Amino acid sequence: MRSLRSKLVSLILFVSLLVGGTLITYLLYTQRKMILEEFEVRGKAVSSLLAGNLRDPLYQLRINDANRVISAARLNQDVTSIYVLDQEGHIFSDGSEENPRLFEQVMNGADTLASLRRDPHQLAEYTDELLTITTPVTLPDHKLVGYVQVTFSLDKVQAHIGSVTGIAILICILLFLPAILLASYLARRITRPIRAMRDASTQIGQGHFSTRVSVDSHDELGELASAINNMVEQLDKVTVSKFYVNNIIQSMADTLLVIDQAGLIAIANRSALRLLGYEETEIIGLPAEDILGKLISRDPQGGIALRDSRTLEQNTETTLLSRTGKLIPVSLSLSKLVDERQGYAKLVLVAQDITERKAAESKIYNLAFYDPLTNLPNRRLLHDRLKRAIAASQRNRQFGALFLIDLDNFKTLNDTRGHDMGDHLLVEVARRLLISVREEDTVARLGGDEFVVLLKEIGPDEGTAATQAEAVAEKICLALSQPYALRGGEHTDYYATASVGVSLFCGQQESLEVVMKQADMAVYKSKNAGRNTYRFYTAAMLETAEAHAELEFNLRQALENDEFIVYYQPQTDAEHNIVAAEVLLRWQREGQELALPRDFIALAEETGLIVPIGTWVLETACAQLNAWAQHPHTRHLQLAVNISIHQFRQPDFVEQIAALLRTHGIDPAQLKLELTESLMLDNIEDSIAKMSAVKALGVKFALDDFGTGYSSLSYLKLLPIDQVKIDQSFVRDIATDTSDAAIVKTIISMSHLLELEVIAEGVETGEQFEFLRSNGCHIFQGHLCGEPVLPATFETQLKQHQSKIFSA
Amino acid sequence: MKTRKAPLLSALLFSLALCAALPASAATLRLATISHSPAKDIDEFQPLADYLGKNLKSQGVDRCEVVLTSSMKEMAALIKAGKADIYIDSPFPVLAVRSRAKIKIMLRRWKKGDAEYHSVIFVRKDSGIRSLDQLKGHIMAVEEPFSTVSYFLPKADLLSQGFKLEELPNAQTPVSPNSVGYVFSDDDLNTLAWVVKNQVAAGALSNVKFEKFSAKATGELEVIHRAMSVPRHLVTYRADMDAELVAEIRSTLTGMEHTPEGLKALAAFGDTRRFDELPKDAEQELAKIEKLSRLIQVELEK
Repeated sequence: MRSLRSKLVSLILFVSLLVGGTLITYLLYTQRKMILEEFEVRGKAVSSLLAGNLRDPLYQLRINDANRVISAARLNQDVTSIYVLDQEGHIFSDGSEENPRLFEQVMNGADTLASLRRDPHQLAEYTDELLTITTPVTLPDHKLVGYVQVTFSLDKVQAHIGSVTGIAILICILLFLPAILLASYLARRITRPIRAMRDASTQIGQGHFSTRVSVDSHDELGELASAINNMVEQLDKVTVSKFYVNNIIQSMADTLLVIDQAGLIAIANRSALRLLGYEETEIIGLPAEDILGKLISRDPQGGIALRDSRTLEQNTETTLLSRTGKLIPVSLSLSKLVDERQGYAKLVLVAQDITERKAAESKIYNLAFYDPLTNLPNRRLLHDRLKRAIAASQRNRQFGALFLIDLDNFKTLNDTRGHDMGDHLLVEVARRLLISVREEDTVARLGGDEFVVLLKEIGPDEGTAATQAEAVAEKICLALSQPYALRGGEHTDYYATASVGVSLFCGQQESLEVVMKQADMAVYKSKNAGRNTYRFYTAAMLETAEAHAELEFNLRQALENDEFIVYYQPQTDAEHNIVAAEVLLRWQREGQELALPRDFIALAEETGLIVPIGTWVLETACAQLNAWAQHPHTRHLQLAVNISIHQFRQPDFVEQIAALLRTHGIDPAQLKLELTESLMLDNIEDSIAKMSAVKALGVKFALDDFGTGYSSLSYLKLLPIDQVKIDQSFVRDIATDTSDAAIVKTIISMSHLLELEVIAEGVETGEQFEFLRSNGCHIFQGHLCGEPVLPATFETQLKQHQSKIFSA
Repeated sequence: MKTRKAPLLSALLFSLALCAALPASAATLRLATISHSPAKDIDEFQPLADYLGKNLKSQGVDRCEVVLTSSMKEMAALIKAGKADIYIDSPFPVLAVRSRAKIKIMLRRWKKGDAEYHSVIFVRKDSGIRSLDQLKGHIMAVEEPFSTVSYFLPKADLLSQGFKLEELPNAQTPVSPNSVGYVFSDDDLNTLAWVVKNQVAAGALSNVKFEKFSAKATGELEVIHRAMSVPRHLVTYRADMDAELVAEIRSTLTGMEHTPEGLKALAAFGDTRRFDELPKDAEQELAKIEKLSRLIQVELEK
């Protein structure tokens, strides 16, 4: 931008140049004209003089005399040529002896000749470099006898004019320098107050309303300065400065963007820059859609419009695009800022970052509807989806299937290897289930080790649907039965299986609960079928399940109602002396047959009732021992109590035993706890630790069902057991199956080596007894030795037995 | 005639003054000619005089000076007095001087590049004159009284053919029907102009000059007579000069065209191409000229 001062200086100089130039040009023109006129006058004088001297030579046609007349004139340096012409304009003489152009026509133009003849006068003709003066030669009687044509060079004249011009330009320059100084001085005088007002206006424009213009002059500029000062005083009183507003905008916690009529970002506050990750220089001028995305559309003219006009009327939750392309959830408020003078509206956008709120909402949603461990839908979400699936199946007459998946022995894993391992297994199971089904299918975790797979639209009829579901069930069973690497890495260290129950549905009147229940019943069936398999729900299952449910209910009531009783089965030595008894649990319900453990122990274990039941058994046994201790004939008896794994894995198992011993004041050695081989080996460290602690109390341990499990000799050495119990399955065929006989022999021998007592159960015949006895078995249990009986009966039988012995 | 006497008188005075200023001596060679334009002729002759003076030192010549006279009679007198050693001029003046003083022709000068020339008598094509006979009763312009080709030769030629010639004071003077009138134009250009402008019926010029005029100037003219050819210029010497010196002068002059310095002096000497010996039949031609010159003896004796 050119300053006023430079414009003023330029104007003054321009005017000076214009006036000076015009003046100089005029002077030069007149000078030139004068010089040329003077030169022409001189030329005409020379020409006239020659004409006078040439009258005789021309009249007498004496060329040599004409030559002589003009020869002197030819010496003049300004003269380039002299021709003496005859009346017809032919060269008569050129002053040279040779006269090479003699009689050549040089005066062209009949009109010129005729004019000169009519009115003899001197004719001056100019070219750029020459002046030619033609003078008629007349006699005293005015008779025309010829012409003399003298041509002068204008070089000297032009040089003269040139020097005059140079001097004029020099003078002009010399005058121009003071003009510059004067112009500069005047311009400064005028622009100084204007600059002061400009600077003050700039300050005022930036919000500095304390600024005042200081101009002392009493002319119009002074009045203008006073007016500005008055104006700024008023502004100071009434104006909220842009700076002030800008500060507010910049300090806003909310994001603020102003979008101009072309759809470009015009203003962005610091919060906006922070939120969107832009520098100010980057965001200003950016197309609004780069940030607002699909919230706006662009019309063909380049303007923008909101896709949904309701956005202007209410707060909207949407997302903005950051510089890195990240979607930022915001609560958005849009308004139009109409500029009536300019005739367009700007869009003002205020947004609050709701990322944290959204994350919290998402978390809440996930917590509400997803299992935090596996990220699978939880029971609530499953129910919702199942409802929808049932409704959909009713509409489109397509079958769906619900798979209830229960991991086998998961509780044992949790109890024996800790919950971390259990969690690892659950996560891996979830992963395997997800890859076993279609993307549109639902895999959910109900809790614990229960998973659900929901398949939709697997067939229009039950047969097709069952085929599809069966394939999926097999796939699931196969997937879940693959080895697991629970400790990470590639090394697998665990095997798990699952029992799967499948319920098909097709929009019948079944409710969600019914479908779930049917799947549950199918699982139960699957469990009963030996686990690691699947079963479809059938109507018969319902009856079984109902019975099962009733049993569970009754079992829970049994403890409260004192419905459990114990039977004692005698254990005798080789001499048939009763030395101990195994405590066997029976459930005596009113109006029902006596229930054996096989009828309810599995359910008790499943429901966890096994722990209080086991405790009750121990309590009962200890009380019995205490009672027996009071009588000499029973004081020696030992009681063997079966300990379930759930009971043994109780963290306070040792304390429980110690408390029982203290409470009942019995000889610990009279109490023998029977543990299965699988129980002990399940978590060998824990087993050794607890058994050692209990053993330290004086309590004995028997290894139950030896031979049916792993039967590791090395473990036998590690475990603090006192007795090995040969399982009845070996004993049963001991007389007929050489293999069983060999095994029993080996067990007995091995026990001897380890200095363990050996007891055989299921001894029913004398032959079996004899084989066992002859091979070194110490204690015997079975029908041969005595049936399980009520305690009172046992004591009676004991008395009878002892009296027999004594009488014998 | 009044117009002719003034330059003649001045030239004469000039030559006398010149002779007085340069007293003759054995060591000075004098180069002479008849002149009506002394300054111009001195300018023309001095380069040759300087060349000779420089190249004749071996013959005891210290310097060579130019001597001008205004008439043939004067020239003959100077030669007789031993005040002119070498005389160079056109054939008629040379023959006229030889008839009065003892001079011998040494060489031929190729003045302005020409070895010889002749006179032409010309008229306007539209004059109706086609022969010399038709010149009777008309006036012919000639240059000046001592011009060989522009006056002597045509006049002698006409006289030898029996024409009666009548000198007139100007072109406006009537001439008798049986005579051919003539007027002196004082310049060949004037002669040409008078014929072209119909001031006179005919003019006499050397063929060389006539042909040098542009076609523009001579386009309307026609030559009706050509006189005999004569050498352009002749170099003569005083007959009593030392033969050895004469031989040396001859040798020097003929050798000029072979040296740069000689060529330069030749160019300055009226654009002379060379000096050479007269052809074998030159004397016979000169005898004819002498015969013609007798016809104008009176004038030659002036």
